[in-house]
Amino acid sequence: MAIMGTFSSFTTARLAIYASQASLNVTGNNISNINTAGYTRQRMDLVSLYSTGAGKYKSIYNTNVGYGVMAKGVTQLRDPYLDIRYRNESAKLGDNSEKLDGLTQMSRILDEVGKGTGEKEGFGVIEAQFGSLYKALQNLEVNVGSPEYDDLVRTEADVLATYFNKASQDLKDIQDIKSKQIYEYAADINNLLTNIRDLNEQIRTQSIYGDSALELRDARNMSLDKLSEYLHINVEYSMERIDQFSEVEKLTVTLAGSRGYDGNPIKLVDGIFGGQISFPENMPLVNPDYDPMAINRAKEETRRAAEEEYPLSRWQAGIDAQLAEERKSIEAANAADQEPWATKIKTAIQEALDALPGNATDEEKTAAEEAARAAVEETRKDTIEAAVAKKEQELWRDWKPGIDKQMAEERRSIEAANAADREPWATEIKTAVQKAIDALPDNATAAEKNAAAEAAKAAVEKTRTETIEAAVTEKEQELRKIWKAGIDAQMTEERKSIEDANTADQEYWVKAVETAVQRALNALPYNATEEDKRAAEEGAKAAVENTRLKTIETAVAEREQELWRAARIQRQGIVDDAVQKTEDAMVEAGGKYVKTQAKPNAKPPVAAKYTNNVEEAITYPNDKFLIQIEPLKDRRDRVMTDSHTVSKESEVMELDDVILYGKFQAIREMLTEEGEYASQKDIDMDPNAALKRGIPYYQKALDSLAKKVAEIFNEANQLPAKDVYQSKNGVFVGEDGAPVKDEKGKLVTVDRIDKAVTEADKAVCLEAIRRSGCKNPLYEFYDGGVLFSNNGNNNDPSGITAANITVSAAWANGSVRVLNDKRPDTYAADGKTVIKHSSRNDNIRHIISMFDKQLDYYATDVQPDTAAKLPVLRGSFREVFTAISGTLADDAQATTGKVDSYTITTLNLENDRQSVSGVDLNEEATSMMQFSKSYSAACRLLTTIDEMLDKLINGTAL
Amino acid sequence: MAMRVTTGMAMNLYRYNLQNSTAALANSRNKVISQRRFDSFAESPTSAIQAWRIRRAMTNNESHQKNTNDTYSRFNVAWQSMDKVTNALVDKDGTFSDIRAMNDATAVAKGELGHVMSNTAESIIQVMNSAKYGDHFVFAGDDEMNAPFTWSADGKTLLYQGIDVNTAPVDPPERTGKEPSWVPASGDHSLPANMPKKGANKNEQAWIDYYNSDWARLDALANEHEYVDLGMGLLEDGNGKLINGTAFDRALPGVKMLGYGLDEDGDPKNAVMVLKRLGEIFQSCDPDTGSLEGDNGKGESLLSEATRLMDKLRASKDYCTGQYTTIDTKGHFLIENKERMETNEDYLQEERANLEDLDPADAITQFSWDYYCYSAALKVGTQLLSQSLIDYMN
Repeated sequence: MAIMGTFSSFTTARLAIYASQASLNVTGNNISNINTAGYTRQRMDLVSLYSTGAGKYKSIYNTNVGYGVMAKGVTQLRDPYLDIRYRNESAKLGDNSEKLDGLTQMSRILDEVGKGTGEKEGFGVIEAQFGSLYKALQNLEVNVGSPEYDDLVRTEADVLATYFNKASQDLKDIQDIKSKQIYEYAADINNLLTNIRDLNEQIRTQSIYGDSALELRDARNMSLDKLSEYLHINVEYSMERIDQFSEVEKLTVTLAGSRGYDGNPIKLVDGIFGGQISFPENMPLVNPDYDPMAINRAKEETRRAAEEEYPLSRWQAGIDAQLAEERKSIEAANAADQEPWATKIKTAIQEALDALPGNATDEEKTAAEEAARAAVEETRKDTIEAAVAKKEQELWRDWKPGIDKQMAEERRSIEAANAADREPWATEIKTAVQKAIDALPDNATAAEKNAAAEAAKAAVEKTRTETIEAAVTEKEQELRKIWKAGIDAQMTEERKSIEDANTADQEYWVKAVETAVQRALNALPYNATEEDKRAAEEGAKAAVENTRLKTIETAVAEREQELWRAARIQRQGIVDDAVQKTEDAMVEAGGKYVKTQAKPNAKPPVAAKYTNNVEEAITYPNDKFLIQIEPLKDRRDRVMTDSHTVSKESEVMELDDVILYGKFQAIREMLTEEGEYASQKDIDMDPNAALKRGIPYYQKALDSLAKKVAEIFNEANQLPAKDVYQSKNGVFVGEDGAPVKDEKGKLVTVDRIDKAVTEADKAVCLEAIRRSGCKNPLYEFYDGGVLFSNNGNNNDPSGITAANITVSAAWANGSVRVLNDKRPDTYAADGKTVIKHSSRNDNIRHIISMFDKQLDYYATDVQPDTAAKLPVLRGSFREVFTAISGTLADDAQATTGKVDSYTITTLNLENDRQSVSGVDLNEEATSMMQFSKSYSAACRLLTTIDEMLDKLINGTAL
Repeated sequence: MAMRVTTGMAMNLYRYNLQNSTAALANSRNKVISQRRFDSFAESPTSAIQAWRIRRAMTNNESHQKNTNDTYSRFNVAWQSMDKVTNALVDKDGTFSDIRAMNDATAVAKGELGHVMSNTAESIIQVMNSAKYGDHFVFAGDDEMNAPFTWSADGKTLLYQGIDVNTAPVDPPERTGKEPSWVPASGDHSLPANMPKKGANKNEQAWIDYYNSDWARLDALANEHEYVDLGMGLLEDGNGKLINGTAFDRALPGVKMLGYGLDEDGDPKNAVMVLKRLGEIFQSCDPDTGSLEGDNGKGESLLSEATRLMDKLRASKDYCTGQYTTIDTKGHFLIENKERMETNEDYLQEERANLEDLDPADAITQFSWDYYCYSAALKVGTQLLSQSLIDYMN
């Protein structure tokens, strides 16, 4: 039987009871949390306890028995691979759901299938109104000359314009709502990021204490799941070293598929550091030639060049030379016949004694001996101290780059924390400036105030600089203490080894040889021959010599490694310096931001230049919803030093359309994407920009249609003023021959209309001519003019959009009507009588024919900087409207399909996860029964052992 | 090991499927109510695009039918007027009267007869001027807002839009193939646009003179067109000019209906003017004998002129009847066009119904099925949280 203490069986029973109870507790916890969102089922890990230590009375029979069961710990049942897949799908679902939401909302405006009431049932709204306008024109065509039919056309046109306005406004409403929503999403994301970062920190702390923090992990997983809906994320777990012996798990969240400046995925959360996304209210005007990747490429290039220029082989000669020296000293230190201090003392004493006269007394001899010994001893100590001092200097030299680097970092972070634009300095400066100004007399000039403000600012600035310097010094002292402790610790070791090497009484190898020889001789049998003895002696000597040579080689090899390590560090320093210099030079040369527009009239003239100082940059409002991720910071606002960029702090990074994916990006695309109306700049930034259609696309498409309708009608309804109205010497004249003037008294001339700078000015001229001009006799019938304008109060046809299209003021008040025909009347043969053609309808018919004409709609009509060269839309008015809603419908149909597919995939994956991590009542009930039984059995075991021992103790007696 | 199916999974699946059932039920309910195959563009973009195309055609068709009706009504007015005119010329006053005038001739009777003829001439003009559709003068060519015919102040000259209908024809210069570019093609009676005031050469000046003549203007007025879109595929060429045959010409210039200009004998071609001249001749017979032997002022006896004019009157009558027939033919075309439009409308309606309308039987069957599925889903729901092992534990 196994050797086990008599009462150990009780321990087995006790462990069994504990294990069952603990397992039952876990089961209870699982059942309690069956409905807790995000809960992962837990399991008590039980292991069989078995001691492998040999007992005092080790049995030769293999009858070892275990010591019972041990509850090792509680673990979660979770499949990280399913998490990854779930989160990938979740991003897709989020993206498409959000897109579908936008498309559905727009469909309510633009999708007219089944809409319309009464006679127009099923004919839509805008579509039907186009029909009504068409009918009204047809009516006018056959009843040309009757004003009431013209009125009807105008009414229908007015309604059509109103419908356009409404559709445009409705789209804008959606855009407004969505643009508020995107900020809510951002706030959500930021909360989640903070939450994950804080949970990371808590889990890390608990892990250090050995707790698995399962509930915190559940909470973190929930947050990650939610985050994955907004952003396509990658979650990675790695181990983070805390000290020499232990490491804890670290969670990193990155944007999937993204590449930051350093070529690595952009981090959102890295362990205890987390970023925040933000919408910069004002974006600096970026230097169009600034390319962060170019800097990166240049840095890589420099790194490669520097590495090539400084191959490690460059150190070869130096190291060889130094090593030769080192070897000498090592060999000397390990010389077989070295004169260690003991020999030196001996020699010194001998010399001192020899120096004494022959009649020297014993006291004198002793004194001489002591003096000689003391002298050598002093030299020995000096030697040791010198070696130690040298070593310490060496250590400080080795550590210096590290120290400098750390101090530079500390200085940077102190400076950042004390930045002039941050609290408390911002307030300090403000207060100081205010005080300085308040202290001035009331009649102080602006210059005086300025000077006072500058002085106050400078004073605070001085304090600030001093504060920074003080903090840096303090920090340095603090760090120096730490470094000193480190060096001191190392020096203790070094000192020991130096002292060992210089022990007063040691003659290491000599002694070693002696000892080895002695041992070899002792090992010989007493009747060994002289030859045997010599052989043994030689053998022992050879063995020691061998060891000595090996020792030397090892020491040299170690030293060589040390030297190479130092060389590598030195080389890294050189390369890093070169890279840093390249970056600085590039950033300096091609600044990120344009500082100012050129001011040619200033003295001296100021040219536009680029600068890196964001504060000085010209900014523009962020209407494109540009998003950035702030530097990663921990709970105490300390900026992370990114391991990728070695010494660089985590930077602000713009999250463009290519980088982002998920619900958050979907709403941004809904707000910003212009499809075919995208500019070349947009396409440069995102190659798919021309294929993504958000609200602006539909707004622009509607604008394009409204503009085209207005253009066609306006163009058809006008004749050149110089043909219709009488002019003298290029100036339009009235009935009385007086020149026509506009409201401001400015002459209306043919030139002014032909070369009108703005459509508005042209409209003013035409209105003036209409009011007081005199028509040519053959154009008496002319009542043409602008039918659609950009405002009901004027006749300006420029810049018409769906939002502003309206029946022109002149058409509304009847001074302009739909022009029947553009041909002049004719004179009879007498040259005076005018033959009228009051019911010619060619122009109306022309307008009708334009209704069904295939027209091209170019993106440049509404967006001058667009990249698309081919027409975006083609067809008649009504066909184009159908095409716009058809595009929306196609997109919605495809997106609905995707949403359905991703919903079911996500659901399946969620179920797969549930299958692994979810709590099942039957299973828990089984566990409950199982542990209940094992608990009873363990109790029974206890009773049985008790009975057994009772028999042994109380019942077994003489 | 088999996949674990937990309560949470069952609930997830149930929720998803119940939502689907509810959505399907709502969808089929909507379909039963709306009787439409699709209620949104996205549901069936292809069908929706087709349906819109058909609905557009329906709108156009409705408009064209209305225009056809309208034009037909105009033609009806024109037809009735011309009916009166031809009747006047043929039956009552014209043929009958002139025959009577020739054979049975007292001076008084001839005078009376002449008077009747003059009146008839005037009444024909009245008929032509009063042929109105709404406020539009049907026989006014492209100046429908003004009465086409007027009498000169002395009542002797009939003016059509201010030009004497008896204007003597002028031959256009001979076409040599070197005409100025602004001259309209042969057969096109319209006045040229962009005609210069002075010709660069003799030939061009000859054309300018021609187009400045009253004849050219009268000829242009008589051949005016007024096209309306009656669903014949209205189309303009690249220069915005109407392509022939894609629109209907509804112009009925009165002067063309009654004839214009002078013939080779110098007699009017216009029926009214012939009649009026005859009336004048009869009225100027010898007041005692009723003889028409007197000189007509041109070295010809009145009788001779009357005899010639009576032939001309017959020719004019035939001409007017011809115009009347043209109106009739065009009227028929309008009726046919209307019928074609109506057939088209039926076809479009049918097409639309095929695309958009749902078969009620199908819809209701689908609705019943979805309702059944939904009820079944609810029923399953009540049993979803079934008993577990826990319920059987002691």
